[in-house]
Amino acid sequence: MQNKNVHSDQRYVDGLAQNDTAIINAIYKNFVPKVVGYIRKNSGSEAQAQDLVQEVLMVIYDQAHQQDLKLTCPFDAYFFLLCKRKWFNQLKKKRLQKVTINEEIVSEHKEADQFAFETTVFEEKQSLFNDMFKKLGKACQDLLKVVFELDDMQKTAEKLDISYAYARKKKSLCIGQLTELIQASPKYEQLK
Amino acid sequence: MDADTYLLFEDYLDGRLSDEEKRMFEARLTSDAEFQNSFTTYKELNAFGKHTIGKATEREDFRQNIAKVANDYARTEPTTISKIRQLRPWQYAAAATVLVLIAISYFQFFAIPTYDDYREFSPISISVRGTESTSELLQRAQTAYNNENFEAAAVAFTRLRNAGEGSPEILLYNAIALTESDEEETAAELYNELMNGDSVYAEEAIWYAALNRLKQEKHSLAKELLKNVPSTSPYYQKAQKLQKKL
Repeated sequence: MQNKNVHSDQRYVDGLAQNDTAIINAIYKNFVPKVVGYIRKNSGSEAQAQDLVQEVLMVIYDQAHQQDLKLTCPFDAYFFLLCKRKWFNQLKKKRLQKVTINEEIVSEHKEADQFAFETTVFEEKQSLFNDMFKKLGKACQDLLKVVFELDDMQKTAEKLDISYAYARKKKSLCIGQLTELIQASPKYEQLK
Repeated sequence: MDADTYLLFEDYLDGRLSDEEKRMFEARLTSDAEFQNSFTTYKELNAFGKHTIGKATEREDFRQNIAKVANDYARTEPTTISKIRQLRPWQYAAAATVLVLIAISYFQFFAIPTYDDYREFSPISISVRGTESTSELLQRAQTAYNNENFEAAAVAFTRLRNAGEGSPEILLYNAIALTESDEEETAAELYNELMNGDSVYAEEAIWYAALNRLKQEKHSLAKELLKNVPSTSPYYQKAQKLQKKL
C-alpha cells in the first residue's frame, strides 16, 4: 500500500503526529460529528463517543510515530471506519448486542478498509506489548526503561555503570525475552 | 532465537553490520520464517519502547491536547446533538401554540378584514326627559341592546324616534342596532344624518358608518368613510389601520 500515491489527507495523520492543534480542531469540526452521531444511533452516549474518538486519535498518533503510516485514501473514510469497528467491538465485549463484523462496517473505500484493518491490528499489538512488558522480569523492565528514556546506549551504560557492549547485549537479551513472551501468547497467532 | 541472534537484530537495526553481513541477514529474512517473525516482533518492540516509554511526555501532551480540543468542541457545539434532541410532549404543545399564534397573527395581518373583527359593544345608559311611555320604550331598547338582542333594540329605538325622541345618542344606537340586524341600508341613512349634524356623536358615527359598509363588504365605501375620521377622534388609529388593510 505504501507504493501508491499518498492522499492529500495525509496531512491529518502528519498533523496528529506533530500534535498540531489546528489539525486536531479540523478533525473535530469535520469528522467527529459524524462519528458521534453514528455511535448515538447505535446504543451509545455522547460521552462514550467522545472517549472512543480520543482513543482512536491516540492510536493513529502512536501508529504514525511507530510505523510509516501513509494514507492513500480519504482520512474521513479511514477514521470513520476505525471508530465504527472500535465501537462494534466494544458493544460485542459488553454483550450489549450480538455483533459481527459485517458489510455494514465495510467502507466504500477498499483502501480505507485495509488501512483501518492495519490500524486495528496495530492497536491490538500495542495492547499485547504493554501486557507482556509487565510480565518481564524487573531487571529487564528497569533496563529497558532507561534505554528508551535516554535513547542513547553510551549514556545508558554510564547511568547503569556498565560497559557499552554489555548494555547493548543486555538490551538485546531483554527485548529478546519480550519477543518470546509475545510469541508464546495465544493472541500473537491472531495478530501475526 | 538465541542471545547471539537477538544481538544480531540489534546490530542490524543500529546499522552496525557490514554490507556482506547485511546482505546475508536480509537473505535469511526471506528464507527463514521463524527468523523473520522474531525480527519483525523485535523491531516492533524497539519502536514501541522508543515511542511509548521514550516519548511518554510527548504522548501525554498529545492526550491532553485532544482532550482540550474535545472539551472546547463540546462547549461550542453543544450540539450536533442537542440540535437533534427529542422534544418532550409539552415542548411540542408549546411549539404548536406558537405556530398557531403566528398563524393567527399572520392571518389577522394579511387577511381581508371583516365586520366581526371590529364590532364591539359596551352597555349603554341613556336618560331622557320624556313621557312614561317613552321611558318604558327607552328602557326596553337599552335592555335589548345591552343583551345584544339588536332586532328588538332596533324596533324599540325606531319607535322612540317616531315618538319624537330623536336625540343623536338614540340615533347612533339605533343605527348600530340596525347594522347588527342586517338592515345596513337603513342604518346608513341614520349614520348620514348624524355625520351631517354637528353633535358630539358625528365623529363616532363616521366610524360606525364605515363598519356598516364593511359588513356589506362595500370596501371602497368603507375606505372613503374612514378617510373622514379626524385625527382628533378616538377612532382615528383604528380607522387608519383598517383603511390600510382595505
